[in-house]
Amino acid sequence: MVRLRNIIILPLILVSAWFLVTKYEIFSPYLLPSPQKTFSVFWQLLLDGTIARHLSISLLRVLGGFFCSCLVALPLGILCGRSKRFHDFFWPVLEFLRHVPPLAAIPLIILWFGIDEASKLMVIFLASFFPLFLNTYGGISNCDPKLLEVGSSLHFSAWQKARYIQLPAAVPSILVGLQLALGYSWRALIGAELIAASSGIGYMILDAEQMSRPDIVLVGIFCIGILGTLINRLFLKFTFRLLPWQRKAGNN
Amino acid sequence: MAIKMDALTKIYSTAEAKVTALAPTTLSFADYSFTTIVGKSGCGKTTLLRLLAGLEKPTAGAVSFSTKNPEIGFVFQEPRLMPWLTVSENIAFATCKGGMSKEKLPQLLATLGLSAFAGSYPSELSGGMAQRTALGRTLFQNPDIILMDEPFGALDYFTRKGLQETLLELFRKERKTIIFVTHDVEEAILLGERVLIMQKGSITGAIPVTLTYPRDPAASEVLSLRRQILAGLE
Repeated sequence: MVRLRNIIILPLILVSAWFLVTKYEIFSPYLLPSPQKTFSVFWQLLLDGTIARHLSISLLRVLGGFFCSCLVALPLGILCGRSKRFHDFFWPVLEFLRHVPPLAAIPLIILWFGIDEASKLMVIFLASFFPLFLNTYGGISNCDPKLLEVGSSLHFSAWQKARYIQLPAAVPSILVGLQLALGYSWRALIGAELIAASSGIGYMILDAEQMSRPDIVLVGIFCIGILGTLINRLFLKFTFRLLPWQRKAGNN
Repeated sequence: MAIKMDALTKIYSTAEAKVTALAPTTLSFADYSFTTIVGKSGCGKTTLLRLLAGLEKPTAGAVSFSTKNPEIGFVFQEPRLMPWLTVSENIAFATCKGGMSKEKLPQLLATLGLSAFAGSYPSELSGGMAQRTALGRTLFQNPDIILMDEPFGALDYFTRKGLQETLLELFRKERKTIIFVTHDVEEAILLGERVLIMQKGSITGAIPVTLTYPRDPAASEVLSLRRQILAGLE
């Protein structure tokens, strides 16, 4: 109960401040709509199914892009962490790409992938690839050599050492990568939906901007924030199960 | 399992100098013998053990065993347990290679006094329990030869005593060839049937200890052996 109280203090203060600022019209209501107004618009959009429609499309895009990025980043990270040759082969190109923000690539992505779903998946893929790849790579390559030596002393083959020592040792780091990648996917979503979208929560926000409806923009932002938080919590619950040894140690 | 070292040598080359970790050494260890090697830190004891285990390649010379491909177990200075596995999973770690049964696990847990901790993770164990688990992992392999590298060095007096007793009991019951490295002269005398003194990469003395187990650290024979070894180490 005390914990719940501590958690809601700051949000309450912020909403109250928002309420007071709009009540005394410190900013024009045209620029900053009141919380009541925003909530009633939210309720309306929720009831007529607008939010559900946009959110479900966005969610599918995020999960699709995230899934593609897992398919490529996980094996590549493991291979680069395992083999110096593989690492040297891929590193220069990956290092170059890492410094290019996905938004900078949008013109090319539109040119190459068109304005359909593929281009949106691509932007989300690019945004979530590196946190996942780098954390997987780091987890595998930073495996304690002393643990690997235990494998040698038990006459493990290279494959057995990878499977039974390096991979489990890298799991916490891979999970951090997955968590970061999921967060980055959400952030890249707006970028992806900037690409001539006609649906999705990012589209809803951009459309509201053009219609000068800051209340709808705020509703969109809240939806992204809240859904992102919920997904993250679900993810943490899932990882909690996967790492009983960290749970017992109280590190999680 | 008898072991023979023939002019076994290890030289580490760094940019500045060549360091002789083990000068050419010819030595043998009898079947079912318990040998302790005592020396100051940096004298090459660990290198000798790692060469025997095949964890390091010798610069020259060779190691041979009385049978082909003997099973060699190694107990490290630190427990080196897999943090994601429980005590019983860590002890049975070798089974993940496949082809081994876990039948003897409960018996082994009981011998080591770990039955109550079978489901605990390494982060929940005391130093002594962790080292018992590491010893269990090596014993589970059912090795012919056990190489131990200062395994009790980081433990407190009482924990160390308990583990020494467990080890001696196992040695008497199971008959293994054990080579035990330590910097503790008393430990070397209490455990070994033969104490090898090592200095600057060479074995400089071999002292047989014929006292019966368990040995009393305050006995006059032990004290005189201790003086003799300490003099040899000067």
